[in-house]
Amino acid sequence: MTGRDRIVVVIVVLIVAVIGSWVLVIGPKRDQADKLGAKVTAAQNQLTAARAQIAAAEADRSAYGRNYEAVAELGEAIPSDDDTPSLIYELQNAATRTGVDFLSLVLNGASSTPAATTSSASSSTSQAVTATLPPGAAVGPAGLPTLPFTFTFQGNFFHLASFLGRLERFVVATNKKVSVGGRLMTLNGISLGAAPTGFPQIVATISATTYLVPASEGLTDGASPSGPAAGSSANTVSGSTSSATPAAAITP
Amino acid sequence: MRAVNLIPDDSRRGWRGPVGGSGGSVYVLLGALAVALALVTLYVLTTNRISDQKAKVAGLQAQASQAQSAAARLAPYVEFAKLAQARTATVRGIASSRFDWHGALAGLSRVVPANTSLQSLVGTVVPGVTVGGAGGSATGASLRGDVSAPAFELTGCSDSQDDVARLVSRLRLIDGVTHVSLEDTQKSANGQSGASVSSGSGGGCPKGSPTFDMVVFFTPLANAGADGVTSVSSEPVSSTTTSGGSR
Repeated sequence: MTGRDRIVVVIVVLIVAVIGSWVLVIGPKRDQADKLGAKVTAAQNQLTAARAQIAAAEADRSAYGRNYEAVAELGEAIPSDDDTPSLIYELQNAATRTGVDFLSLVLNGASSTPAATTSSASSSTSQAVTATLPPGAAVGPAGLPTLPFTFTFQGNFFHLASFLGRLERFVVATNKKVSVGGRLMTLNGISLGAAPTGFPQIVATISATTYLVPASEGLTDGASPSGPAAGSSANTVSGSTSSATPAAAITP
Repeated sequence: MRAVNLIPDDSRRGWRGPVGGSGGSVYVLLGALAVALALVTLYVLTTNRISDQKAKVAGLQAQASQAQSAAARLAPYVEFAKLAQARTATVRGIASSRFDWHGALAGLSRVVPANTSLQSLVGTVVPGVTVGGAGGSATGASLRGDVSAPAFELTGCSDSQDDVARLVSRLRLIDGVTHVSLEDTQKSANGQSGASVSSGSGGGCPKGSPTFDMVVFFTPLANAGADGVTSVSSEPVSSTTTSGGSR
């Protein structure tokens, strides 16, 4: 073997050694480094997301007092139970102010078979929910309990019209603000007929629906003025079981 | 006697360098060493990079874990904020989608002519709503069921058929009225008993005056469900305030 041959052999051996070390040692290390780079990016994203969560949560914590106040005030519009005494008081107060005679209030009772045509599982669930409601309340398809009433009033036409306006103004909603001054109710129908005493006195029979907060939540979902309850069921607003967004469809 | 070349090596003709006759093996060796050095350097740098990134990942994960723990501690506040938003949106949705009874009755009182008496008025937000008590049975029930919208079913009497036609025209002037359907108008020989609900003349229907049944339809409510109970899809509004109002 000449000197030239030896050099060629050595060069070939060197090339093989270089390729081998690249493939067997350096290549895997570089792959590992790349994977770790991806892990670093993921961890940074995780940290950023967690910090954003904290920022949002801090904002919610600083707004807690305002939120608690809002929920407490909404409790007047949508109480946790039938709260009939306050309803009577509010109706009588509105009737007195508008010169209308408050004759009667009748709880129509629950036709509480919303799941009559559904499966037995959902039926039993509905029954369990209904069992926690005040007597006469019915649970709508999405879980918001309703309480139907029939009121009877007597007065002249204009006073009754004014009275209906006052009932509607118990809760006034604008784009930015919800003003609560009494029970939220939907007037489904009214019937005006002649009063026994004759014109201009007329009797108004009003079919109305009032609303309750879901029994699973209660008025404030266990929160107190000092802080919220841990593990609250806030995301089950109105009985729907949305996990993250409160923008659930509510169908009383 | 052996000749001795006294010329220095590097001055001799044909000098081949310090490696002499090694045939370039030294260069190969030097090259191999350089390549080896490069490979070792690359290996060390890569190893250092891996170590740095491992430490970085560990640090970031620890920070993220701490941040998540802090966020978890604050989670009840987030949940309560969602509850407040959702409940406000629910109340707003129901309150803003109700039928304006006061406005409709006020409009009705403005358009009923003086010589027209209403014997009964039944208003419902959707067909099928039952309202008990006086005036609860409407004669325009068949027409009422045709349109799923708030409606007034009116029964009354007027001085003449022309006045009935005038009433129909004037009822269309009420805000939100989409259609006025006259079910019947009949001149009764005996008159109709009963006091009026809204009248310019007062009292029951005089003998020979036409009685009418009509239905006044209003703009449909967007979220009226069965039995008139409001169905609402609540969308939380971030900048919502709630305040106690006057009654």
